Amino acid sequence: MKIPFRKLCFIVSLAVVFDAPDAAWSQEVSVPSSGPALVKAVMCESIQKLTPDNQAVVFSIDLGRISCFTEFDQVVKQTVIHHKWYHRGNLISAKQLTLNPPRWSSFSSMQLRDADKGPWQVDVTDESDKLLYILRFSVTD
Amino acid sequence: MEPLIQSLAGLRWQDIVDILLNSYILFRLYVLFRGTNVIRMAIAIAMLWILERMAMSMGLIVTSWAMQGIIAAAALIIIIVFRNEIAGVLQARSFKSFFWGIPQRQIRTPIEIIVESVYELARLKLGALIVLPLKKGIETVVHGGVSWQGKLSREMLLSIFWHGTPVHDGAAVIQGDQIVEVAAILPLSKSNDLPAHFGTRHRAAFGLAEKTDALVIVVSEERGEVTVFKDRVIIIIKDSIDLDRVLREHAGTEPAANGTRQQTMELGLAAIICLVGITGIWFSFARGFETFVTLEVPVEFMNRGPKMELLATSASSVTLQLSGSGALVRSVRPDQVKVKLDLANAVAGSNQIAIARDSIVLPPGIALKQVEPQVLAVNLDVMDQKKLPIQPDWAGKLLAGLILQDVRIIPDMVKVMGGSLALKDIQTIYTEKIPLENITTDGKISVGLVLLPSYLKLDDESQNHVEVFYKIARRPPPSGDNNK
Repeated sequence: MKIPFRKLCFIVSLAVVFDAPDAAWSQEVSVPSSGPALVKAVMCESIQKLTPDNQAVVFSIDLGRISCFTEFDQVVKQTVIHHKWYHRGNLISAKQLTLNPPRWSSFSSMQLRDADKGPWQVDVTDESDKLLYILRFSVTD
Repeated sequence: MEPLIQSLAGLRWQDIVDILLNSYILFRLYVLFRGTNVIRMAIAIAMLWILERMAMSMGLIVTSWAMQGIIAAAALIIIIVFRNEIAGVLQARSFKSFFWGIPQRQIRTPIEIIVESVYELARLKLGALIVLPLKKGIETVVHGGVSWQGKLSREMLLSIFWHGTPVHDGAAVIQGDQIVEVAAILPLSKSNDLPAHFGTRHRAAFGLAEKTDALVIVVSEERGEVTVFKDRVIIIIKDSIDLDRVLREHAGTEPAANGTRQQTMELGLAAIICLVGITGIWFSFARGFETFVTLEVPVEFMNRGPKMELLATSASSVTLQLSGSGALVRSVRPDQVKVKLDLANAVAGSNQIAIARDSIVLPPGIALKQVEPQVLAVNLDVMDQKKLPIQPDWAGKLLAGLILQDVRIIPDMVKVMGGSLALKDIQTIYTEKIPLENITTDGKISVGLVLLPSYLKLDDESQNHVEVFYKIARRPPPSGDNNK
């Protein structure tokens, strides 16, 4: 099947937009020049078979628990990252997670209470506390 | 005695200047108006005022009110009745004489010139009427005169009473060494006891002598006789020595040294009375019974750095407890009391600034007893700006079976201005609450931004709303594996 060049360009550009939704929509990313490369970072309702289930930016308090899932590539040696959970700008929890070569996924979770409604963010930082990514979401009724 | 000593010990140099200045002003008023009816009425009013204060202190309410009414009426009467006398005093004085020197009244009347002139007039049989006022004014009884203000001389008097001159018919009024008025019309006496040969000139002289303490000399045009009228007494003058003696008695002329001494004593006594009076009034105002008053005064902050912003204070006003005499405390106006805090040494952040005595401006005579609070917490910050991300603040409950999968905000950053310390702790600007209940499909919504604390400002006020685009997905049914 022959595809015209202009149509091909359009498809490629669409693929770029939809394949990288995090950067275009809600997330801020800082790609390190060296070290592990963050390839995925999402908030989700749960982790099923080491994959995020029901990715979202708004979570009901009724879920009781939510998770932050991150996946790294180009991990050349064992290292650590951090998930820092903030509620309305106040640090609630900072969790250290270990990464192993060559590719590694890790997640952290937060138990939700009634007082936890409101805007949240999770800062993903490397072992030197350099900010790699910010995930923003809300916990509602 | 002890309170008096304490009061004197507490006097400031400003208080002494205050007393001396006002004493001098009172003394100068006495010097200007002495010998006139005005000063006698003023002394009478002062006596009435003292009586009024005594009546008030004794609880005589109606008497006190009556006195107040009389004083007010008397003050008005002085101005109306003695307006000519007041105007005469003020107009006759040079500007310098208001502040310094003794007025011309003290210049002695040259009696010799008058005696010589009178006998020259008598010899020439020129009718004359000469008035020498004493202490009571004659302005209220003498009318129609022509102001003259000429230096007294024999030639001048002869010229005035020479036949045919326009002013020869009336009286000439002599004050000091000046002829102040000519052609003055005197009140005619209605007495029936006057000798038959007395004409109108004599009757006018007697009329004035009845009503005032002035001495009036009459030179008869027909017989060339000299007659003096004073205090309802007619004195037939035999010769110039006799006239000289009568005039000297009228003027109370003693040897020059005695006159100067008497004047010095009079003025010295007046000065002492003025000083004592003003000191008494000053102490009654400034050192009366101590009265307390409490004022709530707003705090003024001064000398803060050019880039410093006053963010918050623990109090915007302070309570001052002031004391002083009742009269002074009652007269204190709120704008006379100020609390000015100097922020020259304040730094960004929280400052504890004591309210020192020199930070408080009070009117004279008022003392500070207490300040509440004594220390103010003042938050200052340097103005700065920061670019911050915007995050939507969702609220409510999304419909079951839906997931709000992603969100995008345009613009996603905003520039905020505020204190650097406040901005340091702020990482995110949140939107207003966005309700979830009505959201079922993808869409967008325009919402405002919430700036907390309230002193934060947007760099561009028109950017206080953002567009929030959202994506909705349907929740997948639970898988069998998960259930396991």
